[in-house]
Amino acid sequence: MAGSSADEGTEVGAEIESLRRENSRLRSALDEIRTRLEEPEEILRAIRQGEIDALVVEEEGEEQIYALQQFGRAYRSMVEECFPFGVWHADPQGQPLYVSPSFLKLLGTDLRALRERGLFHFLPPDTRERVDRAWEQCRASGEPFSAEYTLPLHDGEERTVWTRGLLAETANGLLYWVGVNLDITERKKTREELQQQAEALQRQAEALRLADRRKDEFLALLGHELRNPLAPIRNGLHILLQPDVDAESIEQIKRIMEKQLNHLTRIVDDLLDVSRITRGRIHLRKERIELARSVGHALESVRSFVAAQGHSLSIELPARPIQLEADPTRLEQILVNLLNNAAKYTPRGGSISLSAGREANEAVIRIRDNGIGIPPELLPQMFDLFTQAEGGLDRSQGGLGIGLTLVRSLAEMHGGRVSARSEGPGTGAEFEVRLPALAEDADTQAPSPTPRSVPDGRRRILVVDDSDDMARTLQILLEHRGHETRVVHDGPAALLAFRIYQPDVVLLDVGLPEMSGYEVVRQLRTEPAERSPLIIAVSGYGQDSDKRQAIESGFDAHITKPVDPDALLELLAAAPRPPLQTTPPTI
Amino acid sequence: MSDDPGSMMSEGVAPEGGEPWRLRLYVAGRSPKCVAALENLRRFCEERMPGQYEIEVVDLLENPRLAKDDQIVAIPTLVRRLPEPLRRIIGDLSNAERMLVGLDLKARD
Repeated sequence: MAGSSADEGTEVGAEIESLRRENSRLRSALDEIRTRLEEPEEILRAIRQGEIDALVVEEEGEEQIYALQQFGRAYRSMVEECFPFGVWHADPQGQPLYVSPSFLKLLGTDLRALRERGLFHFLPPDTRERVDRAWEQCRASGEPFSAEYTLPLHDGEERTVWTRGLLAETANGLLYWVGVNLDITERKKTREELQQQAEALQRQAEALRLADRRKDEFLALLGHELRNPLAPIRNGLHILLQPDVDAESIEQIKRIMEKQLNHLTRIVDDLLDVSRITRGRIHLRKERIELARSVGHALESVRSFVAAQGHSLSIELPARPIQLEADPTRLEQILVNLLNNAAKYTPRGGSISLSAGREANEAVIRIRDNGIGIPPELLPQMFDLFTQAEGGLDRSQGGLGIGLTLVRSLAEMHGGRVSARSEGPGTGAEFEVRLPALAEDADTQAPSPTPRSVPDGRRRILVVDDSDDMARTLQILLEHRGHETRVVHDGPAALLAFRIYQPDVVLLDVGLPEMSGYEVVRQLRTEPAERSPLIIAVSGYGQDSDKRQAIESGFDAHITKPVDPDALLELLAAAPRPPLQTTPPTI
Repeated sequence: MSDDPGSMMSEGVAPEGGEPWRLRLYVAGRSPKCVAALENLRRFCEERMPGQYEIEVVDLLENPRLAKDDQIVAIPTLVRRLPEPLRRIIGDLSNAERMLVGLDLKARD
């Protein structure tokens, strides 16, 4: 038993030993497994903690080294931060896998929302439908995707984004959409600005072409208009130079020449006025005037022309006078132009009416005719320079198409405005002028206008002009009206003649040689005289500054060559009368 | 990083005398982590076993095939070829504690 028990003991011991060995073997195997497991764990840990920056990958039996951070981070920064709004990445079905944080931040969304609500869920419905459709088509066809859209932001701003993408194959043969979101807001703005500039330039070019064409038309018209009166004047002159022309013809020709000359003078005056107004060189000499008086003056100016056309003219004036603060000459010019215009564009025997009245704080003057009217397309540009109704009835009375421009400019300079109305061709036209009127209280206190008396007094007039022709024609004109005249041709002679002759009026040419008219007038003013004579400057220069200089030098008045005889005679009427029965000493 | 040399010395076990340690560091060019790993390794060795080690630097960018020898997956990786058994430590070797454990110079927890 003992032996067997010893054997048993030995057996058990061996078994224990065997188990122990087995245990030890298992233990070391376990250690080995644990050690082996440690390695991938260690790799994972190192990757997670960012302790490695390259991986070895076996590709087609060859080891390739993939650098992770050294290049990868820089590359990512480049695509994500160097340009807005980075990159995107999607699977072939269009599910976004990655979108740069800068873009997500801009949208105020995240990748999950993009996946769940759609890649373009942040767009307004219209835009979204368009972009979604394009994206769908590209996913179906595999064609590169490109879409531009404007993105309303929460702060009210807008951004324009250009999304581009293409289906790219990765090294492992998988397909992915890769793309960029480009911020093209500035580019689009620039593009639109350029477009607008181009359009503006085009409009300017068009306006310039139009202006150029109008200018050409105007020059052609100007040539025509100047030649019209010049031709009869030249013819008349030619006839007058012939011997044995009978007195009746001479008289007739003189009338024609005078009429044509007036016409020429008016054209040149208008031209100069327009040029001065467009350069801002006209200054109004405003004074308190009564509207009816200006209307009266204007009617006088146009009466003969209106009558010659066989028109009837009716006037309607307000019961209570309307006072204006206006330049009388310019106000008259406005009315004369409109009345002439009405007469010009109305067939013979038409009727023209002028009505004036007060509406609130404005004086309103309407001039109506039953003439050829204005085509609707011409109405808006009626007052523009060089616009003229085609086919004016009487081209010889045509004018330059600058009269209405003058009217508008002058009215606007007075703080007023003008407008034209017409129902169309053949229906006549109505022009309306509105000017600021003075308050009615002031009206009632205004002195009643003195009636104009036709001057008839005989005057002693000294004519000073270095042009013999000019002096002589003035002399003939004045003597024809019963005045007494003396003529001299320079300053010193004028001073001498003044002392001896004691004229009531001196007509003094400003542009005298050696001693200018300004100098002469200054000296004349220092001469002792029984009564102050009326000294009138006669000048080829009619600018306001010229007139001002004349008055400042001592002239009483200024008239511009060519001298309008009526204006001159009217001025003379205001001159002091000579004492009765005074016989002037002879020179 | 617990990089206190004093505490490491007291805890660490110096390599037994005799044969020098043969260490091989696998790198990919002069990438930041590889440069850091080499610096950390040199400092570690100078402190622990001055004069008793050899460091071999293998640049896998120059010769990727060499990765196969020690089955290198991530870079940088340090391989202790001697003394046996072969040990490897992955990463930039910035944690001295992990170095001690990884090189059997300190018992594992």
